[in-house]
Amino acid sequence: MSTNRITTSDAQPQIQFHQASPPALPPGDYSLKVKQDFTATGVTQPFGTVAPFTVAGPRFYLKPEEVYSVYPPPDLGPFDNALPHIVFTRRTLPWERTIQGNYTRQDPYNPVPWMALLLLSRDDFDPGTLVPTVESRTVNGLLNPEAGIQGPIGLALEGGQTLNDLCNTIDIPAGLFAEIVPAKDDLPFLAHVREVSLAGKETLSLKQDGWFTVVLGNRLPLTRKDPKNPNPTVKPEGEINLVCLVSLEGFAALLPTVASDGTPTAPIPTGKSAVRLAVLASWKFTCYGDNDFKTKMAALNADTLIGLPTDKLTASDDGTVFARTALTLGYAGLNHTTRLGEKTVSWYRGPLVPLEMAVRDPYEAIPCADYALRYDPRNGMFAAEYAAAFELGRMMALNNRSFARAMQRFRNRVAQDIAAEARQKALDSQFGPSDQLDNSIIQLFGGSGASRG
Amino acid sequence: MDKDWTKLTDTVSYDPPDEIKRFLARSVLLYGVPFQYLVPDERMLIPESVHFFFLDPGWIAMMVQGATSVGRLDAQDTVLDTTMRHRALEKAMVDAALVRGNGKDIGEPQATAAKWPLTGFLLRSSVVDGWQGVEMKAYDKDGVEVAPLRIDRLAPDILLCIFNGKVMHMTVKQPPEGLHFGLSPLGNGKYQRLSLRKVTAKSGGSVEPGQQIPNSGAPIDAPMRKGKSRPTRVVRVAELASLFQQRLKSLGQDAPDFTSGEFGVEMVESPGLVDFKPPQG
Repeated sequence: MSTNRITTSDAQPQIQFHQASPPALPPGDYSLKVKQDFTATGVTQPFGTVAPFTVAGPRFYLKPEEVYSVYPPPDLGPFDNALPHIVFTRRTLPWERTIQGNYTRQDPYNPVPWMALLLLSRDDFDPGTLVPTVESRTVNGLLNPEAGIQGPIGLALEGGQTLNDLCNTIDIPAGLFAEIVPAKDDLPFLAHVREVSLAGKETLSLKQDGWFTVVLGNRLPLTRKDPKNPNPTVKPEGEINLVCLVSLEGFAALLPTVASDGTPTAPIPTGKSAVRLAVLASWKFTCYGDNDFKTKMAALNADTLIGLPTDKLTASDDGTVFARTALTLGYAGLNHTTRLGEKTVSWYRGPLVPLEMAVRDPYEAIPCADYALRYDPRNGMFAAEYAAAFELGRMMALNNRSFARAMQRFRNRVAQDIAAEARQKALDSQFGPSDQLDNSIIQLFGGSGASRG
Repeated sequence: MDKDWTKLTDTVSYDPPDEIKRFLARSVLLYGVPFQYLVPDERMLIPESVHFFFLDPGWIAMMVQGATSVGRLDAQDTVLDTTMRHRALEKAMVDAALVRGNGKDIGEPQATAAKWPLTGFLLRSSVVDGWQGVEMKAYDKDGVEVAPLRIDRLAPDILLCIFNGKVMHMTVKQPPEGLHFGLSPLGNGKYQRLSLRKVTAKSGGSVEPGQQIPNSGAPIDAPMRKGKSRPTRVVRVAELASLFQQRLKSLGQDAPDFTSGEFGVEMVESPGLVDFKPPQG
């Protein structure tokens, strides 16, 4: 197994590449046997038990949440130079099974992934023929396909799997299968593990450990872009490419081989016109234009503070000037039904404001939301944001039952502590501090001779 | 608030229990606040734009007051109630820095207490949707990195980021776990790799592992599978890997174990990095 570090242009080590990460115990059915020989004065009695168990793992379908990301994104972009790839957070996924039907242990020095990314495009099919689509079938339809179609070989169901389970499948013409499916020698290069730093990422993603597995495609997308004329006056139309993550479990004997001149052949039995594969994930993207990450980010309109646009409020009467000021301060006019049922429009703004507001210490304690409603007599409008914030806080607290209870307990505890301290203080003022209390009582009940019982 | 009850007592603890502190600290970072309360009018958030903001501590103080007002027995505010609520607010405003967790382990600057004013931005772009795991880094006026307190997606294409202090400059980076692999297209189904990266630390020299080797020779033509009527655009991966290995050897950078890890390093494209400056004024 080998590991490599890559340093990107901003000079912090960001990412490490590892060859593979096969699981310690691959998915499948196991049984745990325990045997003990009990010997007593010449008699030997064997005891034992068998505990069957199954290690479950994705096989014919993959839950969408197992996929962390895909590239190219399901979007438009100039992806003509990119090999597609898919990223998982499950570190062992591509090596959990093998391309042989029955599980054989991965060679630790040359692990072969059981999944591959296939890219299909329009020019794979003659005009007028149907482009295959991803279809939902039962596992039975995958393992025992109709005549003329080749499926995976030698797969036995494991615990928890039935022939009636649904999975996604695709039928690929035999000739195309030979052309685009990776050869057995290619497969080990098409999956690896990456370890990256999680700094600066979404808070949610911090639950992950920074290990990602990547399965890489072997085929570049179809594009109409001409590299010799990168900026044509008339932009060509986009080209749609379909990428499928397929399971190659049970395809070891059918994978193509490539002759030294580059001609691929696959040992598909005669009479089989197509190959049926389980599709674990699929997406489409379009090769078009120049909007990749850098150009998209550079095109962002970044010169804005939060707030409504004021460009239409150009008049100079008092009302317009006032409204323009309010919008610049981040306010929006919203419909407001007052407590008395009156309908009006009031100013509101959220906690995200376009100007720095100093922290006040302390904030005035307000007893209820209406107390925070502010009224501007010059134009007869309310500013309701603080009242809304107070009411929202109440609703959020009441919505969270454990918080509301904890608050109640906290309140009671403080009130009790204060009452206890007040009682103690009353006693102290009568008899002196508590460590002298014993003496006071002793004196009260008649001199040093009394027992303290 | 002219009387502070804490001055009247010696032993009573006004420190709220952890459960309350946690909820309030999260509220300060606007967890649980419905989107309409954050952005009351959708015209405030035009597509493909970054909107910078300051957090309004007054708004948050009112929300925390509202949250801590539950369970009162009468609406008449007592000095005790005021004291408790103030203590809870003070705590929450400081503890907000701890919600994201300890940043030190992952190389982020560590925030121990919130440094108001907190600032941040809302990013609405197809970049958020298309590139899972974009990385944000923010810097203050002295160029010191500011700790992120919250980075979350509110919608598939809307990202909310809150930083611990006033941000003067920030960078957004393409996620390295999603760094893509590529070959330079020459047209007519031909592709090539223009330069190689160093993959071994053993061979010495001034180039760091992972960096591009200067003068790595002529571009390497990618061996492709032959198609019947059209270019297949299918790379002969094992062949290409062995071409990389031979070239590295001829450059004195021999890598005897050339696996998917080394292949990945050679095929990966550099990540995109974009700078932003909030409008100053």
